[in-house]
Amino acid sequence: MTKKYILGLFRDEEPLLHAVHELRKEGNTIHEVYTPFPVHGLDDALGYKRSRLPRAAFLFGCLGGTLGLSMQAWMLGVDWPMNIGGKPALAWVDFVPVTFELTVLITALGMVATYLVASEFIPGNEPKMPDPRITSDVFCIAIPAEGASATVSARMRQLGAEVQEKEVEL
Amino acid sequence: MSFGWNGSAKGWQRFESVSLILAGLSTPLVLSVHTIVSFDFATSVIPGWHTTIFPPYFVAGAVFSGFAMVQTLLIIMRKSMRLEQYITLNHIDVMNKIILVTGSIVGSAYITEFFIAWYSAVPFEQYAFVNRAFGPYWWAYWTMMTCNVITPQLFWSRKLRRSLTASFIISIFVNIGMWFERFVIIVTSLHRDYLPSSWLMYSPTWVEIGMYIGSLGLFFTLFFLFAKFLPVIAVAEVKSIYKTSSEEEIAKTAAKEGINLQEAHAHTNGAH
Repeated sequence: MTKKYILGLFRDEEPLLHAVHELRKEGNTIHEVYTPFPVHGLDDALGYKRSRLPRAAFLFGCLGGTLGLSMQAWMLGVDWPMNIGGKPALAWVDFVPVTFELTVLITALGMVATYLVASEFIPGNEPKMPDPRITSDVFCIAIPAEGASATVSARMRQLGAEVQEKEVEL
Repeated sequence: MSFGWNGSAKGWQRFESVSLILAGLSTPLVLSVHTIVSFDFATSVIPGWHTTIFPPYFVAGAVFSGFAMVQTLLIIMRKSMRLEQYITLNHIDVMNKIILVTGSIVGSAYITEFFIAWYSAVPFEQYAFVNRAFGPYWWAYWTMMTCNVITPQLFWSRKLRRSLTASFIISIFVNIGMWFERFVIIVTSLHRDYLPSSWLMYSPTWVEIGMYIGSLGLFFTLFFLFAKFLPVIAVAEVKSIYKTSSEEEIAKTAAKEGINLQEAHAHTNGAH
């Protein structure tokens, strides 16, 4: 669903970062900032909380470890215990390599899948981008036109942006 | 932009988070995987295999062989895809240093094997090493020793580390040496173990040779498909360090701030 946005286009990351700080300080709501590469300090400037993906990774790791141990415990303790040199069937130390590998595998696969789902990455999906030059060399601050102060366009021009008003889906 | 990537700050934040965790998982993975693989040999009783040096030996050998393979492919690719500005001689230099270090570790592992075989006074273990050096597969053994122990030591020379021709040739030798290492470990220990009446000679069948060449074919097919259809350099990463690493930008900053080029370089190199 398209909405009207005031876009401030920059050519360099330092003016962009400065502009983000100033605009937020002056109480403007920024919908999102789009950059061709990750800019250090931008997440903090925008007040973004840390991503919850590491927590998901930890949960997947617990799942993988549990899966590894349970699988081996069932196979070698319940389903088909084997007499290997008279040693106990549930040889927990021997179970470590498989458990470790399953932990890493489930963490990696689970986290990447979660990442793709959370970011809505599907083959053929149209990107919700204000300008296709974002992936090339243009930085963009998108402010929703509805509720924006009357002076925000002038302020962005003052901070070094090329300002556009666009009806786009973001 | 395919899949819906839009360059949003949130998107980059998630991407960096995933990359960090995958990177953090990868190192323990490499260490553990090669250790477990070495256990396939070390936990057996075969003379020449049953030794505790195998886990660190295999891990170091993997890094050694891996960097040599990377150099072989990279030196050609950077020329053919004109990436000399992005993959510089400095990169080649430090990769060669890693080959030197891990090659030395592999050499130390060889010395450890001999020492333990002698110190153990186990005649089977001692024979395994005498057989490697002077038995029917002596040619494989001495190729391995020359390629793995002697050639990487050439990288003590800065001139050779920074020479593309030398790097390429030495990396090929290391690849050959590591192939022979695997051959020596498997064949010499298996063809003569505890019982002399079971001793045999090994020679590969046409099926085995075919499968080997096939595996090279599979590798290069996938490699070339990747190089053709996917970006070989992560452009966003180059952009993010452009200001501090590009020669042009460093010169511009120097001119603007009135400091000479040498100082400018030191300043930016110190920054990262």
